[in-house]
Order: sequence, then structure tokens, then C-alpha cells
Amino acid sequence: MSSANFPIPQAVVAPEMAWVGLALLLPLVSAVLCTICAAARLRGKWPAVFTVLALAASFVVVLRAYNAYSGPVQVPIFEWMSFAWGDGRFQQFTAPCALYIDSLTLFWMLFVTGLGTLIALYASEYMETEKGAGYARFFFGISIFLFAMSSLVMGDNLVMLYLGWEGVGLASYLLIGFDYQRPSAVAAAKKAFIMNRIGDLGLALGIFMLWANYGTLQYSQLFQAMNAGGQTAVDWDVSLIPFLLMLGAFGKSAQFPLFTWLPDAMEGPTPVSALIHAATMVTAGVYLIARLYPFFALHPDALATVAWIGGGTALLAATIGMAQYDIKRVFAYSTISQLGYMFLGLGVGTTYGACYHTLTHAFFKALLFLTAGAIMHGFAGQLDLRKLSGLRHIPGWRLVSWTMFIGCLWLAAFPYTAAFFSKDAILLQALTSARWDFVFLGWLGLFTAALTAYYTFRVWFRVCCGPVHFEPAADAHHGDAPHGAHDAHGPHGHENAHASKAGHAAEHAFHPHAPKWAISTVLAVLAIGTVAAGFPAYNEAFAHGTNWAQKMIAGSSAAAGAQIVEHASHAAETADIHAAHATVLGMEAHTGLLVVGATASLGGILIAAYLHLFSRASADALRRVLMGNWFTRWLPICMERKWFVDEIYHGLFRLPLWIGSQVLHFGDKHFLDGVLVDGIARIPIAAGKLFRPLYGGALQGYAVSMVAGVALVLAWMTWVWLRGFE
Amino acid sequence: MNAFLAPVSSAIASVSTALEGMGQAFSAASEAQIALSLAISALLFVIGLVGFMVRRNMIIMFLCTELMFQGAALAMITVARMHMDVSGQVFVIFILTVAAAEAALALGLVVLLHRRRETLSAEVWSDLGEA
Amino acid sequence: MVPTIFYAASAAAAAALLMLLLPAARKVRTAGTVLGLASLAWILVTIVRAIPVTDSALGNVGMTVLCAFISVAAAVRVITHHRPVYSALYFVLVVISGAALFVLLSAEFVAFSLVIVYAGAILITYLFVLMLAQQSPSETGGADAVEYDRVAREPAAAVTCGFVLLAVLGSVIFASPRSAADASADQVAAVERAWADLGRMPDALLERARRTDPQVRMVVPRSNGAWIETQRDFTAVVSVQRVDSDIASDLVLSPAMLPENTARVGMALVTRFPVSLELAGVILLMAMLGAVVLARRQSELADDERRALAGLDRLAGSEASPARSRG
Repeated sequence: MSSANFPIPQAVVAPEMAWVGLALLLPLVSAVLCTICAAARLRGKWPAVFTVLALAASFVVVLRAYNAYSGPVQVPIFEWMSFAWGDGRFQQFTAPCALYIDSLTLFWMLFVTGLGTLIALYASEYMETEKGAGYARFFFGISIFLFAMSSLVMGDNLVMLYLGWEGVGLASYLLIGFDYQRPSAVAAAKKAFIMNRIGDLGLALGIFMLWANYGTLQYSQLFQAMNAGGQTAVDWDVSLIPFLLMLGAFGKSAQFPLFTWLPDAMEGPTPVSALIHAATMVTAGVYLIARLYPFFALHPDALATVAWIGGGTALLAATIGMAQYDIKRVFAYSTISQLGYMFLGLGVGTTYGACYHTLTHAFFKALLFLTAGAIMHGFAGQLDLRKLSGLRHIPGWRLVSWTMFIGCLWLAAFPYTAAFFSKDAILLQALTSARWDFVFLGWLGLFTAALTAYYTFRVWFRVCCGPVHFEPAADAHHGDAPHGAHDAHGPHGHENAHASKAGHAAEHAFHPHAPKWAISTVLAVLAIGTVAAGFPAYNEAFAHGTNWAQKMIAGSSAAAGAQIVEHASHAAETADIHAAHATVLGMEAHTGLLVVGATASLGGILIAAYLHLFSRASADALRRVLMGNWFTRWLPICMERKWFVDEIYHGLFRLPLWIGSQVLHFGDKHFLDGVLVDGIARIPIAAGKLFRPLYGGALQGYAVSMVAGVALVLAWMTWVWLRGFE
Repeated sequence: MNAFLAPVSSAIASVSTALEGMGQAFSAASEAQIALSLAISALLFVIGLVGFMVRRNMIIMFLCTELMFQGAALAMITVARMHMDVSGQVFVIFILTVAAAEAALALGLVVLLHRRRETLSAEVWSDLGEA
Repeated sequence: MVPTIFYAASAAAAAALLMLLLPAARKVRTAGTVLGLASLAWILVTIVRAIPVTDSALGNVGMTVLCAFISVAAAVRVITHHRPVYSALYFVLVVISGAALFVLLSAEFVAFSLVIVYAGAILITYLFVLMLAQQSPSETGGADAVEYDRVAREPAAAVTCGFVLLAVLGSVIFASPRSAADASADQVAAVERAWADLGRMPDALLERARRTDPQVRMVVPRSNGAWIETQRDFTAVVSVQRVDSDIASDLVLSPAMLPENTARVGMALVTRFPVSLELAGVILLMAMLGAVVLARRQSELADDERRALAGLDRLAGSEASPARSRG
């Protein structure tokens, strides 16, 4: 079957839409303005003003572009890189600064700029204690991040994507390490950056291979090549391209094995966690695969790999999240887990499901992080769920608690929430697949959904319900106090193994700082947005109308790519036929999934309610039972210790490198420095010491050396003279 | 006894003819004698040189330079004999002159130096050296 | 081949000298003496055996060897004796044996002038100064001789350098011999010059003519204006007037009438090296003036001036002698 039947839409060159480039330019302008603010030592919230205005303006530009959209366009802005050293296809390199705008781009940019604006507004209040250079630096980082993310999403060639890729990594590094005087923050920033670089290697190699085989890096031309040529016989190196690309995606989107940087990245300020590590940067990997989806047909097992990694990571992260005590950490692991779902969706073939889940996840995860931030902001950095309780009964905190409830409900995929539909799309495709391993992954995903629901509501029931009790953190100043080391302390339950310095006496003197208008507004808007994100699905499910999200995805390279993949893997039926004839547990697919999904979600919530709302002591009892038995003891231990992945990394990579560096240092110091450099320096010194006695000052010593010289010279001369006689 | 005395008597005879000088001076010199004399002059010169380097008494050092002069003079005479030319001997006369002049001045200086440091040792005069 | 033996002998001699120089036990010194004499003999024998000796020259060679022994042994004693006066006296022995060697080499005038000037004048001066300047051992604390006379300074280095030089100098001896043609050419030139010299000495010429033929009354110039004419067989012919006649007739002088060494040296000095002669005189004058300057009494200088002259300001704290006021 030729792929000509499912062509990727061709992009039209539209230079008149160059104004869309403003979405790219405005964050850059605000970055420059923030620098000026820092240099001019301005007090006040000017950096935040600039950033919020710039981001809001880019959101407006994107909206306008959406309104003016009529098909994929390529918008050249200026000539950036263009070399030609011959006439052939492989003898030129063109990478203009241009935009490729199709529905996938707009889909992504809408929530990137929208959430960016909202979170920048939130951060203007959240970071207010950092007035001065720190404030400007923060918003500089946010602006740079959004510039890079826009370049990543909107660029028309892989060079711009790579620029954006690296740019978001840089911004992430700068923002995680924002409180640079804290060693744990600096270490986390480094870890994030370095782990990303490992993934970036894969991406870079993939880009090189693409150019080497297709001669171009621009999407429009790549898709043309894909449309024209068949995917039947490819060289082994070409078939490596999808694996290389997915390595990059796994690095950026924190999938196994490159996920340990994301929990540590919670050392950064909470708006950073919300924007970068929940909603936008970590979805770059999903975007990459969605954009270059046609190329994942180059190897039959490429997408299966993606699915397996995604599904496995989802389960792994969920188990770890169940055992963490820091709210932000729980949410970080849930991010990893949900990203796993997105990759699972991409792997089993539903790009719509993956992208829609990205959208819904962006909203509710940002919301959850921002509520956690509000709690942190108000309780002087306290995020340990063993030390907070009953927040919804405290006046001024009702908004936070109920918006958190909405977020948790969506995260748990409660029936008929937006996230339920998006997760449903993914699991449906998996469970009705012709491949047995995809079906297995689908059931695994359902189990993970139950776990997700459990740990999400564990947090909510602990923090927002129950008796009112709160303790401020030991460092009462604003800032994200280090929580990493505190996760694995003590038991699963409520026992305070870690004595807080505040103590019970201070508890009565401490008054929580309720959020003000900026935070509250943003939380409210986000909550509304989270609910609204479900409208496309509601439209389709209840009103039998068109699903806006599906429409957006279907018109892009992602969907066409999915069809190419379907045909490349010789699937006999299309996705529709799958859905129509497949069954889940004997019931028709949609209904069956509804039942099973709802069971999973509600079941998780109920178990969480029992263990953490109604009888909190039973959580401790359960843990004690598990720890007592030698076999089951490993379960809580591994979950709390994050399955020892960090330790494995340390042993596999850091330790050998450290040993190597010690050896090299020793060699450098003693051999290169000592023997070679110093040794060579010692030669003239020794020569000097050797010859110094010649100048002792004794007359006869001089005489001896003179005679010795004369004797030697005469000997040589005589020898030469005598040889003349032979 | 005769065998022992024969070379002795011929030696004495040769000495007497040598004292006459006229005949001997103009006959070709024996190669062995030339070689021996040159060897002796070299030995004298070298022994004088070694003595100069070894002895620490300033006067004896100068005495050794006189020994070196002896060696040089013997070499001159030997070569004059080899070529049967008198100019070698004339030069030895000049050597003698210079040696006398030098001895006078050198000994005067030695006396002065001795007065400075009350010692004839050459090692006290070591100020021209490096540390 | 022969040079190698010579080098070996030199090395042995060097070892012997070293043993003599080191302040070691008596046994070492005795062994050194024996070794030294043996190596000296070895050197001389090597040379003699390398070059054939005709019978007529045997006496000369024998005497040369004897004088060689004496002079070298005395020279070694000069440098190894721990008492300076004895060194000077041994030097006298060196000079005398050197004079003997000169005589054997037909340089009689120089031999005697050597004895007179060197042994007679220079060495006496040395002895005077030695007596004047030498410290008596009892002052320095009881040793047989002063420390700087007893202990040699770096003998090993000195001996090594010196005998390397000896080997170099000695190897020249075994270089190519002179050809016979050169020797005879020298001889002819020497005889001619000698007869010419005799021609410039009228009294000696007359005396020799009278010795040859007692009837000679006076010597007259020959037809070509010269007083004497050399002939091919080393004889010379002069024109003489005999007692009982006025006509000049030829008289042949045999080679035995050649002028003696002293006359020839004198003639050479005056005719061939007049400038050097004058310069030698000037040198002696300078030496005399220098000696007068050096011997000037220093007490006329003030103490400060003297110290400044000596540059002893910089030597404060060094081994400056305490009694400077003397002299």
C-alpha cells in the first residue's frame, strides 16, 4: 500500500504571515528588558510587568494566527543559514529562520503561551520577596524559556527545533538553580542539564542522520520526501533514526532511564516547576515525536519501544509517587507518570490521544503545582504532607483547597473529567490493538491509573481534609527548602520522625500567609481552564459534534504519520475499524473501557479515603505489616528509595568517572607536572649546580680547569693531526 | 767487567767529544736522543704543571712554573740540535731573561701578599669566586 | 702500538705521582716511588726501543737516559717535598741535570748560562724569599711542616689533567720521522752559516788559520771580497799570507776549525736577533724598576689609605690578618 493515499499536508509558503514571528520575538524583547532592569537596579515589579505583557501579547498573536489559519503554512522570516558547496541535493545546507505553522503548532502554542502568561502572573506575586536582581533574573529566565519553546514548536526546520531544545534546557538550568547559594539547587540544576544532554546526543545524531539521508532539515521538504518515497526498504542506519530521536525525547520528557532529574528539579521555585516541568518543557519530547511521526515508520519496532518505555515509566513513577511525603515530589512523579501515558499513546498509534492528554495534563498539573506553591508560599516552605492537615477549614485557604481538589480529580481521571477522556483515548487504542503487547500495556495503564488516583487523593485527603494542623518549615524565609532528603524518612504514615524546629508552641504563633489576588486569580482561571479543556471531548461524546482537539491533530503531520505507520506495520484495519470491532472484557470497547476506567479511578480514590481520611492510623499499620515480613518488606523500601535508580547511576557512571578522574589527576600531577615539567626545569638547575664549583674562586681550581681544557683541546687536535699521517 | 765498563767508557768519550763541540754539533743528531730529550722536556713540563696545580705554597707554585720553563727550554734546545740551528739556543737565552725578570717581580708580589695575610697559602686569596 | 705502551706508561707514572702526592702512609709513598721509577724507566725504554740507535750514538743516548732519570726524579721531589727549602734545592739539581742534557745536545753556552743564571741567581732569590717568608712550624702548633705545605690540593684532578697532556705531548714523538734529505739540508746550511760567522770574526779566523798552519801571518780577503768560502765537503778555504811571502794563497780549514758554540750563539744574537737583544735588556730594566716599586716600604701610607688600597672594607669579618701595621 503506498503512502500516497495518506499524504502529509503540504505547506504553503506564506511570507505575509511573518507577523506570527512576533510570538517568537516578544519573549526575547522582554528578556532584554529584564536585563536592563537588572543593570539599572530597578526596584519594583517591572520585570514581571514586561514579561506578563510580552507573553500575553504572544498569546494574542497566536490566537490571531489560529483565526487566520487555513492550512499548513511555512513563514520565512529571515535567511539564517544557507550554504551550498555543489549542486546536488546533498551539497547544500539550508536552515532559515522560518516558521512552520500547522494545526499541531497552533495546538501547542495556544497552551504554551496561555499557561506561560498565567504562570508569569502567578510568579509576579510568588517571587515578590526576591525584589531586585533576583526578580529580574527570574523573569529573564522565564522569557528566555518561552523564546526557546516558541522556537522549538514553531520553527520550520530541525535546527530551530534544536535551538529551542537546547534553549529550554538552558532556561531550565538557570531557573532550577535560581537560588544558587543552595548547593542542592545547584546540584539539581547540573543534574537536569547533564541528563538532558545525554538525550540531546540522541537527538543531534538523529538530526544528522536525517540530513544525511534526506538532504534537508526543513519539515516541508522532509514530508515531501516521505510522501514521495516508499518506506519499504531502508538501510539499517536510516532505521536507527527513530531510536535516536526517541532518545532525545526521553531525555527531555523524563522517561526511563533519564527521569531522575525531574524530581530533583523541584528545587527550583514552584512557578518554574509548574511551567517548565509540568506543562511545557517536558512536553517537548511528545511534540518531537508527534511532529516527526512519519519517520517512526522507518523501523517496525520503533513505536513499540516508545510504548513500552512510556508504559513502564508510568507504572514505575506511580509506585515511587505513592511513597513520597513532599507534595511537589509526588506531583513530579505524577508528571513523569502522565508523560509515560503520552508516550504510550504515541506508541500504540493514537497521536490524538497523546496530544489531547498533553493539553489536559498541562492544565491540571500546572494547577496542582501552583496550589502546592501557594501552600509553600503561605506556610513558609512547608510541603511535608505529614505536617499539614485540614487546610480547607482554614479561612483564606478554601480557594486553594478546592482548586487543588479539581486538579486532583482530573489527575485521577475521575469519570467524565477531561483527563478521563484523554486517558480513555490512549487506553482504548492500546486495549483494542492487534498486538498482544499493546493490550498488556493497556491493562498496565489501567492499573497505573488506579495507583494514580490513590496517590493523588492521598495528598488531598492528608493536606486538605482532617483536623486542622500545620507546622511551618524550619527555615521560615521564603524559598523552596530542600525536600529531597526528607522523602524517605520514617514510615509511610503520620509519625513525626523528623522533629520540626518550630514545634507545637510556634504553631500557635505562626499565621499562614494566605494567597493574594495574583495567585488566587491564576488558580481560579486555571481551574476553569482545566474544566474547559474537556469541552472538545464533551462535544464529541455528548453532543456528537466534532472534537476540536482531534480536528487539530488530524490536520497535521501527526495524524498523517499515524496512518503511514499503520500501513508500514501492515495493520489490516484502520483505527476506526479497531474501535468498532474490538472488545474489552467482553463488552463493546467504549463501554467496557468506561466501566473499567471508572472502576480503577474510583477504587483508587476510595482506598485513599480509607487509609488517609477515615482512619489514618491504618496507613501506619499497613506499613508495619509490610515491613515486618521479609518478602513484602522490599516493596515499601524500593518505592521509598525510588527503586535505587539514582544509586545505580552513581555506581555505573559517576563512580567510574570519579575514579578515572583521580587516576588522571594523579598522573597529571606527578607525571606530567612532576616528571616532565618540573623534571625538565630541574635539568638546568642541576647543570648549574654541576658547573658552579668551577667558579669557586680558588686560583688553583681555575688553573686545574684551564689545564683540563687545554689538555682536551690539544688531545683532540693531536688526534686529528696524527690521523693525517695514516 | 769489560762489558759493563765498555758503555761507560764510550759514554765518557762521547762526553769529551761533546765538550769539544765542533764535530758533534754538525753531525746528524741521533733520533733516539732527540726523542728522549723531547720526552724528558714533556715530563718536566707536566710535572711542573701538576706541581703548580697541587702545591698551595705560593713560592713553591712559582718554582713549579720555573720547572715548566725548564721543560720548554729543553724542548727548544732539542729542536735546535735537530735542525742544527743556533736560534733555538738564542731563544733559550731570552727565556732565561724573562724567567729572571718574572722571578724578581713574582717574588716581590708574593712578599707583599705574605705581608697582608701572614701566610704563604694561596687559598686565602679566593675572593674572585661565586658564592 | 708504541703510543699505546707510552700511554700505559704515562698512566702508571700518573698513578705513582698520585701516590706520592697524597698525604698517606709511608708504605704508600715507598710504593709510589718504586712505581714511579719503574714507569719512568719503562717510558724511556719504550722510546729507545722504538727508535734504532747506532753504536756511535750509544754513549750519548746512555748519558741522556741517566740525566733524564736524575732530572725527572728531582722534579718530582720538587713538587712533593713538604719543606719549601728542600724543594728549591731539588730544583737546583733539576737545573744542573738539565744543563748536562744541554751539553749532550751541543748547547754548551746555554748550559752554563743556565747554571749561572738559574741556579746561581734565580734560585738564590727564591731561597732568600723562602727564608724570609716561611713560617716556622713551631709557631703553628707543632707539625713538621705547615699544613699548606703538607697537604696537596686536589691531586687527583691535577694529575689526571697533567698526564693527559703528557700523553698528548708524548704521542707527537711517535709521529712521522724526518727524512734524511731534510737532515742533510740542515747540516749544509748550518755549516755554511758557521763558516760565514767565522768569517766575521777576524781574530778567531786568524787563530784558526795559525792552528792549521803555524806559518800563517795574516788572513786576507779573497778575490770575491769574502773572507771565507765554504766548500762542498764542509771544509772552508781562506786566503792567507804566509810569513815568508806576500802573495795570498789558499788555506783549507778542516771542519774541526768550525767556531764553537759560544761564538756562534753570540754571533747569532748580534747579527740575527739584535732587536730581541735590546728588548731583553728593556725587560730586565722594567723588572728592576718593578722590584724597586714593590719593595717600597708601605708604612708611609696611612692606615685608612692602605685599607682602602687593599679593599679590605668589604672583607669585614673575613679572615683578615690582625697585624696589618707591620710593614
